Amino acid sequence: MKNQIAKIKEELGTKLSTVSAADGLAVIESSFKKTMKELFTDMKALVPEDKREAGQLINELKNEFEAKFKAMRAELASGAKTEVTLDLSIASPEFVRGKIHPLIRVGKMMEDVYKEMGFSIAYGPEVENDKHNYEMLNMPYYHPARDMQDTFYLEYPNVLLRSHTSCVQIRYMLAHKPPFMIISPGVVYRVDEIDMQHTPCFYQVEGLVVGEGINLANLKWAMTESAKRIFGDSLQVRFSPCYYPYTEPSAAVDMSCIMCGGKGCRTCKGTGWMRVAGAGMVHPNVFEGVGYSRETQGFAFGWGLNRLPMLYFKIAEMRKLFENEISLWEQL
Amino acid sequence: MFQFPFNLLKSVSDTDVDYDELLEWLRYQGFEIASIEKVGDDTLIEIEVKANRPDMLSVEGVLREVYISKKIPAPKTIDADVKLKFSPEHKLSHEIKIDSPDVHRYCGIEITGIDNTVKTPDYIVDTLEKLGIPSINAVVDISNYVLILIGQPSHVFDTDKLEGAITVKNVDEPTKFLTLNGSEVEFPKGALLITDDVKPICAAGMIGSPSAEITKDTKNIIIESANFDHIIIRTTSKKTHVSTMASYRYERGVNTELCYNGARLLTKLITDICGGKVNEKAFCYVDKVFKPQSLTLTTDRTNSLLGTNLYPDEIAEMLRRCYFDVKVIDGTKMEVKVPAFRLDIEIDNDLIEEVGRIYGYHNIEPQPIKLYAPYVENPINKNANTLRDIMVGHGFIEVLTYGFIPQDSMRILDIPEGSEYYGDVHILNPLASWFELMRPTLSYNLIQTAINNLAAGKSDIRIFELGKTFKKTVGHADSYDNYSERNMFAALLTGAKMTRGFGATKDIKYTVYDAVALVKSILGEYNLPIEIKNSDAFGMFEKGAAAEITAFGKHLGVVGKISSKVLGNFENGKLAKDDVLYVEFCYEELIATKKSISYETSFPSIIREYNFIVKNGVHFCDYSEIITGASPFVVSVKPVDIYFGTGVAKGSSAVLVNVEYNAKTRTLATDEIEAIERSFKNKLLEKYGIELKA
Repeated sequence: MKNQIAKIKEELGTKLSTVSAADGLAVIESSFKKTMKELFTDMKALVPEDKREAGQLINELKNEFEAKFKAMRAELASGAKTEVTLDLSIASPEFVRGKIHPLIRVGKMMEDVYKEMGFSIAYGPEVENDKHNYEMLNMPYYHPARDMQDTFYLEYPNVLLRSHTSCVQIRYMLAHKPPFMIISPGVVYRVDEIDMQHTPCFYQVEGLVVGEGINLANLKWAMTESAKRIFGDSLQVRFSPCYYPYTEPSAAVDMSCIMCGGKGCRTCKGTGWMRVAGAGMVHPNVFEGVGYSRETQGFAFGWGLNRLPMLYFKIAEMRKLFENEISLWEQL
Repeated sequence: MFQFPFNLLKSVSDTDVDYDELLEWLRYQGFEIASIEKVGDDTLIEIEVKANRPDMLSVEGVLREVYISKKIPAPKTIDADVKLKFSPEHKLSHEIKIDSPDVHRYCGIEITGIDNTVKTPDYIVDTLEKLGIPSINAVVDISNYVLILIGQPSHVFDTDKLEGAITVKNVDEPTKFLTLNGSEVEFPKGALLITDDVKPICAAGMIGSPSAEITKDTKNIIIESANFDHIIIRTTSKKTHVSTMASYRYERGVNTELCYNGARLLTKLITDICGGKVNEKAFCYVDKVFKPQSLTLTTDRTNSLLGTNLYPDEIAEMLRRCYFDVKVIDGTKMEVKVPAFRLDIEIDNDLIEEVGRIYGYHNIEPQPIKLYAPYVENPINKNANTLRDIMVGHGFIEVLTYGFIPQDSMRILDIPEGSEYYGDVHILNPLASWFELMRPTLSYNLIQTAINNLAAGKSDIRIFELGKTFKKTVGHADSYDNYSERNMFAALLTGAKMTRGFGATKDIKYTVYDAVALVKSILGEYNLPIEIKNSDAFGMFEKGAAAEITAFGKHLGVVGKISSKVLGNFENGKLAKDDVLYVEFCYEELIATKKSISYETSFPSIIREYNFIVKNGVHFCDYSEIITGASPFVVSVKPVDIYFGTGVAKGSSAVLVNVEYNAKTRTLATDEIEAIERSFKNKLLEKYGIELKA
């Protein structure tokens, strides 16, 4: 009988190891009950000494397997074991998230950083007049700096498409009194043929901070801090004298090349630096024009927003930003 | 831009010039190195000179920076030791009459008996050739050489070709004449021209005429070294599109006192090279005697603007280094006299920039802003960000397109003149005819983008854009106000919303109902009473498959299926085989109203579905109101499906509608529901001819 029990034990073990559904388990259980019944009947025919030993073995067998059945029933009910293993390396085409345009993505990064720094956002019209776009920015009709900002004109005299978002700052100053901190992101226009590096529309994020004691050192801080928050702490920012009719002193702002980290590469023409923005202390003539005193202090800056996303997302040509090849944006 | 040969700079310097040190200094001072070109044993350096520093458009100007960098107390002046006496009383063989407020200086020096057949010396030809200036003849070459050297433009007349007096005046009427570059140019009324008694001989400060041109045979000359007002040169140059080395400098400004050095240098070089006899009694007109500008600068203002802690002596020292004459008055204030060559220094801020430049911007320590300026949320920016979030969630890709569209885009889009989306804002100077109209709708660019992507092999497209559209609103006093612009949102979808596979037996395509669902989903965020009603008034859509979106009775936007005629008007438009669906609305005034959640009942709802036969032209938004109004127990009425075709009469559709009933305080009995059903079924039949499908 001892051998018989060992054999049953072995066979049951094998059967249980292959079972994967509750139905299969039920069949094994019912057959086991039958076997047990038979074993008890057989046991009765044994001599008393053997009977005791066999009874003990049979009980052990019964307890062992009943526990196993119970555990397996629970396991199968919880679904831990399925009949087929699904290939979950496969995904259906459901749930594809949309993508934000790379230029807007970088623009939003900037907006967020400036908002965190306490700047409000100001918008203005894209159709502007000569007064807001040039005259009030210290660029009278004969100013040679207008050459750099040649724009498109509409039918009515002196109505044009803004060549920078600085006119938003003029409008803001005409309507508000200092202190304030604003950025004015938006589209601007220039008469540039479309090529690898030029498009007739592009984006700018300009900023204006006006208040008591605002100085060039504050400007350096604001530009450095925002660039580092956007592009990382290891970034370097440098300032050099420059000229804009609407700021004095003026500064050109260079950033260490985000492609090579400042070591020098093709993108930065081996210099390790990239010109990314212009800035300066607002010219007293501009303040006077909007009705502030000439002694007012404030700084303004302007980031060109076409080049940064190109570098950030490694977009080959500027015009690609407006060609909207979906397969490219899908990679974002 | 100013390009110069490095060897020329070295040759006129009294001090050693180190190439690397020069480039480094120029960069630090804000004169970007635009290009460097090796030419034989020389190097051409091109620097970017901004509009405020015309004094840097010469070798002498660059040399001045070298001297500043080396802290040499006096700048180098390139001049010649020639005896010339300047006076307005001096008469030349041809009288010079100045009849314009635009002339600040006018020197005329007469030389007779020159030999202009001589070869221009190699050092001059070499310099000009390196800079791409062709060698013409000795006198002309010398004139160009002096311009590069000190930045003073000049002109030389052949005396024998002059008839009567030389007059400088603003012309009363447009005057046409042949210029030295071979083209006939019409100079506008008011342009500053130089004429003799018979003909124009030169456009002052811009370009000469062959009528008094210097040739190899020229024997007798009058040199003009003058100073003209920058505004007249700038405006004439812009109007005539004539730009020369001379006009480039004059329109930026030339130091009035430089014309004397120019006169002496030209006289010396011409007589040294071509011989001739100089009339020492030179003519000179002076409108106003030069007096150095005097400015007051305070230490407080300087430090306050730069964020520095400089002492007055330090500031004075830095300014003196740049050749300003500085007198410290009382330890807080100084009087600064500006040298004649610094035309850009007009106010104290200009001096402060000089201080910053010499002190070094890199030496100014960044300081955090200490300012309380309240943050004000911008609703347009907020709405744009909300819309972007929603669209990204819906799986749409954002695109950005240009603000201008083709001249004939209204024909292409089939938009009638009275439409809200009709474009009438034209650009006077477009890059091309396909960029002539400011967009009145984002649809042209979105359709074009979709077609471009279909052509590139894409089949299912979901794109959106946020941008401005433009319209004319005539009749305002200020012409600027005759334009209006709106912040618009637009989305385009075409192709399959569900592709075959993973349970779907075939592609399921987007229909116009999906576009309407999109509008409802997006605008649902704002909880506004949106109405969407069929309208064919806007153009661009298939007739009967377009609707107007309104809120509070105000036009908000449109939704519909782009007509196949419109698609056919686009190149490659035939590639759009599936329905192209389009949504556009103005988002700038959207304001979200508060939403709250209601826990209304614990009694289960009863749902019933009805298959209505609805005639074309009858709208769900109307007849669903009858069902809703039939009883307060009708909780919701939702369309489940719409079906045309077999089993449904032509001119009608079968609409499957799901109605939810709930009494909220008890469970409704079947006969109660049937009573409600009877009530709305009768009304539907009466008012809209709607019947239940058999």
